[in-house]
Amino acid sequence: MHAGVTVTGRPPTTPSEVPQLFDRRAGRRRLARCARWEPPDLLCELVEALLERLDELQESSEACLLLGARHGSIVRLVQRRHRVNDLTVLAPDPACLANAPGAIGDEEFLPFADEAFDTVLAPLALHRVNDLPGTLVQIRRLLRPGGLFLASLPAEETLCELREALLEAEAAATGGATLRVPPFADVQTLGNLLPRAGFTMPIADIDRRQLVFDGVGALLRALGRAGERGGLQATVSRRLSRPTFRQACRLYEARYRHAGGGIAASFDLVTLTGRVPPGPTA
Amino acid sequence: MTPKSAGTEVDPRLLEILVCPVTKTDLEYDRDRNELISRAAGLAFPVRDGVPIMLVDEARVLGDDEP
Repeated sequence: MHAGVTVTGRPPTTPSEVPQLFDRRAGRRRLARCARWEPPDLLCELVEALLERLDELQESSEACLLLGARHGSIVRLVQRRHRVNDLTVLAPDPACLANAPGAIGDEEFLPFADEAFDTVLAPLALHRVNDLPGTLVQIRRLLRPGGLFLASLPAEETLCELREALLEAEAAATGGATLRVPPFADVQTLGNLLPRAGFTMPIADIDRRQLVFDGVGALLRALGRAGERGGLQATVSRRLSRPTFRQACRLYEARYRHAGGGIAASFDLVTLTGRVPPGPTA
Repeated sequence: MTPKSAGTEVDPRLLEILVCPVTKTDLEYDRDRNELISRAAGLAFPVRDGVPIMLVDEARVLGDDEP
């Protein structure tokens, strides 16, 4: 942490007192615009990893719900798995459904009946919800006894270099700083949320990576094409001036230069596994 | 408005498991207006090309005079 950095701009609170950091509507529109591009390799890899784990843990999955289907090709990846027979998709835009039965919706307000599914898959679908504990409770309710929940989401030090550079440049220029890179939960907190939501046999494992980009511009372009830029409430994130942004780029590129050229960016990816107990649930 | 045709109906199996995203209560399918109606929330969710749009910010608020 850097002394003297204060986060200004209090997020508004809903009646339930859950801070609304993310503008869900803006985020959904951003994902819808990205649907026409090829999905990022990292997303495809995470989907494959979830499907592999599904194969290990679940003998058969009759009814499966895919959350955060932000590209049609993600839906087709899941459809190709013969063990997923009856797939339902929740997507940000009709273009992402790839003709699978599904609806357009918000992961924070799931439009499905209790005990409708055997499996819920959530690849990169839950890191921008405002109320993660509440969303996990909703997901658990969708699952039948013995059902399985699998999710992957960025956590911990993901994009910490970018956050640090932006905070420091903005604090030096204005004496304060607003939120620019969203906060990510730590793996232990994520793991603890599972039993709180009623899941048993919770597992949260973390895969720490350093990805290399040509520069800060290239990193931001990659995030933009993945629909992962912006989306924070305007009240918590103000626009950065050009000189301040350039200063942030200089800080980043000076501190986190990759030995083989370019810059390094941390991605700490957590996989969550939770089960619904067999037999009647409380 | 697009004319109603067989291709714009909601998948019957999907219809069975859809509920209101706000109240989690049952929905009524108004085939004439192509809407899924949540009486509990007072909202009508549009169906576009057979795809239910289950977003509160896209839903129509039901009028007081609607049955």
